[in-house]
Amino acid sequence: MLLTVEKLNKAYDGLEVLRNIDLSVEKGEVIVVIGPSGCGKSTLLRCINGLETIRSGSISLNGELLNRPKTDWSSVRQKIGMVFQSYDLFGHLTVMENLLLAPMKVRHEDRKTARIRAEALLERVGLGDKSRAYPRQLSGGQKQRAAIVRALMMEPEIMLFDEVTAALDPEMVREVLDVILELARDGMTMIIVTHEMQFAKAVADRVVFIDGGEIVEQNTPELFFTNPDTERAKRFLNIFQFDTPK
Amino acid sequence: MEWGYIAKYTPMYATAALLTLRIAAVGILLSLVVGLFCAVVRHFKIPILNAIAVGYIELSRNTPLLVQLFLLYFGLPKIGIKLSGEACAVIGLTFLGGSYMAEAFRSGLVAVEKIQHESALSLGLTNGQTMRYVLMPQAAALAVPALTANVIFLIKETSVFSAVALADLMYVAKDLIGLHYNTDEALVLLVAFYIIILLPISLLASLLERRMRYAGFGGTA
Ligand SMILES: Nc1ncnc2c1ncn2[C@@H]1O[C@H](COP(=O)(O)OP(=O)(O)OP(=O)(O)O)[C@@H](O)[C@H]1O
Ligand SMILES: [Mg+2]
Repeated sequence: MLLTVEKLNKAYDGLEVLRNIDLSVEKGEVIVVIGPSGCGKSTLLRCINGLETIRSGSISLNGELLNRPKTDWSSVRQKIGMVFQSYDLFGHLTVMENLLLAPMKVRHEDRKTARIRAEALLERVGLGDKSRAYPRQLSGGQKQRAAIVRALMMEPEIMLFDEVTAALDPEMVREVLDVILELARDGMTMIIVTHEMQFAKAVADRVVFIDGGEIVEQNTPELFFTNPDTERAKRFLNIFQFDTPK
Repeated sequence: MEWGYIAKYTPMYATAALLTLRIAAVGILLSLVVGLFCAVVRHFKIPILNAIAVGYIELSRNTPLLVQLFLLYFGLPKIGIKLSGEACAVIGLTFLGGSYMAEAFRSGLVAVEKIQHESALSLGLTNGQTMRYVLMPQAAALAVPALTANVIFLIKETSVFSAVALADLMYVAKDLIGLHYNTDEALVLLVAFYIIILLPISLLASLLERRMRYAGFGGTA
């Protein structure tokens, strides 16, 4: 197992947010996490890369326990790439400088080789001409593609995506999802939180449905979207289809 | 107005202005260092240091520079530490300015969104690297108006240096008035020299602010 989460509990000052979460992710697997707003999806991702401390349970990466006092988060986080919902490129740096910062300062890579990798990746996501642009000169979709590339620069073993298209105008959603789909094709291990159901169907090896801080159902996308095991998943999908006629 | 008098004493004022500027420059530079340090300590809430920083900032902001200078110049010798007037002036100015600079940097840090911090961490940067490469550059740009206001405030505050027998502009003016009773001329020179010092700095400051606001980071916003 690449990532194993066992009996994870998380509370924000007394308020239980995640309860008894068990989740295993194999190398190359694409997990899509869905669930109603406030059910704890973002919190789960944030626990995995140590942005939140957990109350009990365990998180392991390649069999190495992460939630212990001695964890070197800087080296762990290099293996776990994360892209957030809100735009998070560093505003004072150009796209290229955004991409080079962590490889040069954290991995001590020299500028030239990092640059070559950065240019190739930018080209791949259609941003070959944007390396000198500042974040505020980019559209939302371009920013998110650049943020994905910035995470990829660290050559992570797993990528976490937290509703990376939720803040985008509809016409830009596609260009970002296409990048993620291509990563899936290349065999990248990913945990993707999304509200885009069509995309979830297309990309997921497994769907994890969270409600009220618990994993209610884990299923294949085929079964989950047509004939889920649980009542709660059914209700959620009904409401969802009612909300967003497509 | 006696122009002869003004011509005669202008060099004396110029010397005093240079002294004022020198002390102000050193004091302001040290204030920036102290301020930066306190702002970082407070941002990360580093135990013990944070409490010390809070205490220092309160003390510094709530006592006049004159009182601080008196303590340094007349108080310290009583416990066996004797500092020159110039050292007192620099230390006093730094003690006062450090807290103002700290608050300016801190307001900048608060204005940088939390997501910038978290995404830097998620790339594997340490807290220190995040502060240095991601948060501080953006916080400093946001803090430019407050920082430049502090610079001008601190230069004005130097007028109390005469109290510790430093031959700064104020001291020279008072001295000359006492000697010759040419009050008008002495005061005209005093005002003129403060303007000569402050006007370019304040013009430079507003230029810097405008650049930060309109052209910062390749932007059009
Ligand atoms: N820093 C915090 N302090 C206190 N409560 C929090 C904090 N962050 C999140 N919560 C609460 O934890 C619960 C789970 O939040 P989380 O952001 O993980 O939900 P989510 O599933 O990502 O929702 P959404 O779909 O709206 O993004 C919510 O009830 C939220 O109010
Ligand atoms: Mg969320």
